[in-house]
Amino acid sequence: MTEGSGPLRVIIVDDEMPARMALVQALSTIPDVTLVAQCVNGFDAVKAVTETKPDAVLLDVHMPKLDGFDVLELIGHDVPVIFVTAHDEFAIRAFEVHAVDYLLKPVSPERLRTALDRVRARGRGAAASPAQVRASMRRPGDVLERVVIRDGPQVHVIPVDRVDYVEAQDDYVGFKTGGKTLLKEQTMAEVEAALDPRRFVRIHRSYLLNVERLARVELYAKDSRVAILQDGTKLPVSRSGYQRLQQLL
Amino acid sequence: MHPILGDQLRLRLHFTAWSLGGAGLAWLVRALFAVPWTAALVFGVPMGLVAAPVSLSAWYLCRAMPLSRTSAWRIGATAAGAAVVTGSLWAALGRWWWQLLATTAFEMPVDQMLGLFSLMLGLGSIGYLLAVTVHYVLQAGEESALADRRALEFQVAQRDAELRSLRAQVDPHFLFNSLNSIVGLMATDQDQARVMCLRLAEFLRDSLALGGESRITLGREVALAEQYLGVERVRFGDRLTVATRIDPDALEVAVPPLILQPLVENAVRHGVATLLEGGSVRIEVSLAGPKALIVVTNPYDPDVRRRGTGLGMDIVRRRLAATFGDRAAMAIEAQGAQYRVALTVPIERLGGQAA
Repeated sequence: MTEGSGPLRVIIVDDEMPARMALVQALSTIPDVTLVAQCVNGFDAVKAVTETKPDAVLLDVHMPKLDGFDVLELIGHDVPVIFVTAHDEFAIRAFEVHAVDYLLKPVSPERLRTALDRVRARGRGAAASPAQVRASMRRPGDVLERVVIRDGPQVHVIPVDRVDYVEAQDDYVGFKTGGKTLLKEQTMAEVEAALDPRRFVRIHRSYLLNVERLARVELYAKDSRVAILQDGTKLPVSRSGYQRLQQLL
Repeated sequence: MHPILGDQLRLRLHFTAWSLGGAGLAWLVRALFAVPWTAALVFGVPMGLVAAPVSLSAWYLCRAMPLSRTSAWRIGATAAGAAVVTGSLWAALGRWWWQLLATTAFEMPVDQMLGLFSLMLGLGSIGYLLAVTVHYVLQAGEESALADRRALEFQVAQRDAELRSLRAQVDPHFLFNSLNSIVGLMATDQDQARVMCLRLAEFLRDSLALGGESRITLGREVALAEQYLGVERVRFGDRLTVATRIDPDALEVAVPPLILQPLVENAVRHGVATLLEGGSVRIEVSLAGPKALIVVTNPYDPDVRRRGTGLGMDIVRRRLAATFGDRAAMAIEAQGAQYRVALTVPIERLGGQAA
């Protein structure tokens, strides 16, 4: 990354063409800024961030499939984000997830300039940690309905009911869905807190099980049980995990 | 709430009536069994007062068998049964009280106890049936008061819906997004920016005018929806297409204003806008027998779970109900990746007469 030198490299993300044009126009009036990519949706945005490593992202909130908050969860670690939206009601949430700034459409060039100055002042590349972002992402009472996972330039969106189980793997958690494993940099505790407790049970220190996939639980040694899933997968069940499972069922 | 127990004045009247009944009983036993006035009153009035609270239980019978939903047979049989049982208990109590008075206080004949029992059984049963009648009358009065209150509440809800629809008719985000599009288009395509300004102005002017009217033609409603879509098509470009199939005969049908535009807005915001490739909003207006049918169909992303049907849709439902009652219907269907809202309204012309 070109730390502190050269023009600020910026990406625009908005699903509406005229809205992108408005930002392109506003950016063109600001010195020392280069537009490196225009993205029409969240998937494009993650790809562009991976490939061009920009200094700032101007990010729309309402977009299909992946909204601005999803995108921030996926790229917020790598790059400072400025939200651009017609809705003022997300402002507080935006700052909670460590957006650098929050601009209301239509955006005046002056206001955009202030926001970009803020990125410069912060030092390029400095951004929130994913854990920080995620911790403030959820509102109380919300349960996760889908998991967004970044795989390099690619993004997977998995509805939680398609997750069979979650497995702890060092600094990552693996989401198992239909025989595939998708890794996400997150802790088991975070995942457990985000998922619906009526559907996902921590059956073991390293396993969170979607109870709809459970076929039966077998005792295989004293005090030691194994959960057998509908597809035949066997997962260890700890004693406290078995208690939690019984409570739910 | 018990109609007598819950009301001080009625409760007092109730006890007064029963003590008068007791006095009546005293008059009867004095005449029939030749006892002095004092003895007759000391016997009769307490018997009347004892009957007062017991007769209040008739309410539970009335409540269990509302007049409107129970056959006369069943009410008659149950009331008669309850009257005989209550009457017997009361008569038995009377017999005991008579004997107690005869042994302790007064000169009273004790050789005609069967006669006394029969008299009191008859009077008690009649009294109980009277109480059932009174309770039914009170119940009917209360039901009509409740119906009045419901009608009033409905009127308030209707006003409320109108007010809210006036406020909600132009979504501020729609306005800001449209202005933002104009800003963007000014740099690249000034003709398109001009078109957008004109369409937006048209839409705003018409939606403000329509909000104040109680009924408009379906034709104006369709025109407003098309203006709205015209603005949104500039915003979304190729992602939004519109298909309409309108039966020209249906355009004169009178409807409350702003019942179609919110459906179309919903189709864009929660439908086409949630899809990467976008899609088509279809508006169909047709006549089907005695009704006009308005259908809006759009693709949507089934993975995006929606929270409720939204305020806009709710207002449409209320406006229809306020104008047509149960002669109009709104049906929402989500099948596969298609969302479909169908409104059925009676065919009426402006001015209210049936077409």
